[in-house]
Amino acid sequence: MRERIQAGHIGWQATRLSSRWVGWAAAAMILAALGITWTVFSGIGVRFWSGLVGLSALFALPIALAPDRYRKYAFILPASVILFGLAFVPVVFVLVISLTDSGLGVLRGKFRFIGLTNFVSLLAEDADARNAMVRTIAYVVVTVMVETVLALNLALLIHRKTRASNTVTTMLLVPMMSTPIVIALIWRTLFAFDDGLLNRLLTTLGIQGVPWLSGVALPILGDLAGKSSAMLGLTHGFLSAEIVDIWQWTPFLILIFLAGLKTVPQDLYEAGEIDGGSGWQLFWHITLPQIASVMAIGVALRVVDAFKTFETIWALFGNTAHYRTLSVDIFSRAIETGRFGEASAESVLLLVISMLIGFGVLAWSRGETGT
Amino acid sequence: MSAAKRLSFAAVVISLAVAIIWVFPVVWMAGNSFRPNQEILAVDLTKFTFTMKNYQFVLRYANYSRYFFNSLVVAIGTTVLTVVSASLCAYSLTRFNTGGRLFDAAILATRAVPPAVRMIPFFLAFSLLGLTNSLYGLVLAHLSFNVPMAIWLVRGFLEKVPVTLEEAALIDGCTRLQALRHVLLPVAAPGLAVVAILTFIYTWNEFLISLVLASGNESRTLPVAASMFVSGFEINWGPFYAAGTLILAPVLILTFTIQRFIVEGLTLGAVKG
Repeated sequence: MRERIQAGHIGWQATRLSSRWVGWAAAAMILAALGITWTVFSGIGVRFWSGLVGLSALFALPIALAPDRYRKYAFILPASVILFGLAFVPVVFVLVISLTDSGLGVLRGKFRFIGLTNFVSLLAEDADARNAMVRTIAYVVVTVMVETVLALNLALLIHRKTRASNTVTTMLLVPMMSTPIVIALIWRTLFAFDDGLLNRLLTTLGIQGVPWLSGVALPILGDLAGKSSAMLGLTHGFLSAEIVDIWQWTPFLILIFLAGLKTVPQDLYEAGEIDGGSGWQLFWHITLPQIASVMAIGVALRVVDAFKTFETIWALFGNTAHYRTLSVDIFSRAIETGRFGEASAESVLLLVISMLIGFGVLAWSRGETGT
Repeated sequence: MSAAKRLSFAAVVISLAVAIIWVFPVVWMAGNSFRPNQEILAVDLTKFTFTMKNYQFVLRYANYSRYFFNSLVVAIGTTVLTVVSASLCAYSLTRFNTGGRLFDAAILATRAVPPAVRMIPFFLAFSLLGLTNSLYGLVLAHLSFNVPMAIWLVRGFLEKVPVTLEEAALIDGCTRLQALRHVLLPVAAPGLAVVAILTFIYTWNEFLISLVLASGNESRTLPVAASMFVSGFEINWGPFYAAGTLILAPVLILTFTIQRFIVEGLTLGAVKG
């Protein structure tokens, strides 16, 4: 690896980038930036020109003007500016706002720094926030666990290389690539109590319709939880949201697990069979350890993404307090009621929790598998 | 039938059933979008009256051509800027190891930040700068989600192209530019296309940030418009199904054209790590 980089480096210095290529690249980028800005602004004043000049400069000038030795830095400049300005700065910004009492007046410069008050009140006093937090964690745990078990079984099944495997893999892409809000709204129509397909099918079979989207507590678990069933997400409605998530994201894990299964060397199984291992033993001692690290990464990605859930809840229940996950609660606090300080503190909590659990899953599995 | 045969037969049946479960809701929507509202609500599977009324409603009265145009501008703008900046960056990262581990960590960490966390700073900053309800602002916001992912993917594709290929070309007297254009670009082109299509789809699908930054009638994108078919507890079913079909059509067409590469792209990070 080291040698490669150096060889590449020498090659880079030995041959100067011809100015013709740089010219073409710069021209193409200016054209692209111009086209976009033109379409977006359709011809108006200062913003148009500043946008145009800014974008072209950002993309083209450093690359065209930098001396050869520094051109590799010019190459990462546009992406770095984007990463810094649009990904890093906003997170710092949220941290700062979370320490203030920003309300609707913040845009006119009216706010005070109040230390960690927002965090304290969110964790200690605010029932909405606390419920949303517990509910989000319940959501992540339930969906990711079910998805993992389901995906592992189905991946093993599809991996058998039947004639149907390719078709099935293609079909699996449909839920995960489709527009989430549209998918969630389709499910809302399927779940509808009177006219929904699911309840129609049930009544045709002579079974009573299920109140899919209601706050009615679940039969056994919900009764056990009593008053906290809404907080723990043990209602019919919340379970329906989890069903949508499971439907939508199990395919993602199946694809990841399939990719992992493809990397398991076949001769391990042959050796295992010679030693007289049963199917179950082969799975437990060969397949599982071999794909464990891939599985962990897939699960960690799912955990991080499940914490982001917004569309499913929003489409099924709108802004109803009983079903809010953290993302929805942040949205309603900030955008609907303008309590930016509190909402920022809540999003800091969301960030910390999701990162901790996501990386926790990774670290734990690394420790378990010794990789 | 032998035991093994019966087992693989069962596998085929189960995996086909699974596939049907996963496409069914989308097929249900597309099919129903051509039926009149009364028939959809009756959930009567025995008859099918074909009608284009829902589509007419969506395109003529619900202003969907405008939203379609908005979505297209935002998605194409984001895709062009993302692919250009990300591939330049990834090239520099893979061939010269610019930035080192810190840069890698930054890219990974950015991927894990939930959109809800960026929502507030974007909303406040864009309100101050007058960028709310503007497609330009939406492109900027979407860059922050897509550039890290794109760098990661392009990098994965570029790492698979052996450096020796370029070096051989250099030794043969190519300039670095010629090596780039004639050796690296043809090999990397499919990878770049995949990244472009994925970026397009993700931007096309994005909901939360678009809702927060641009829900005004002039700058509304398709997903936000779709969510507005729900008012209170009512959904206008027929038109919603038609609108949903219009939104999903480009995405699914793109997905099926490059399906093999999508699987590769999605699983790239996981299998390598």
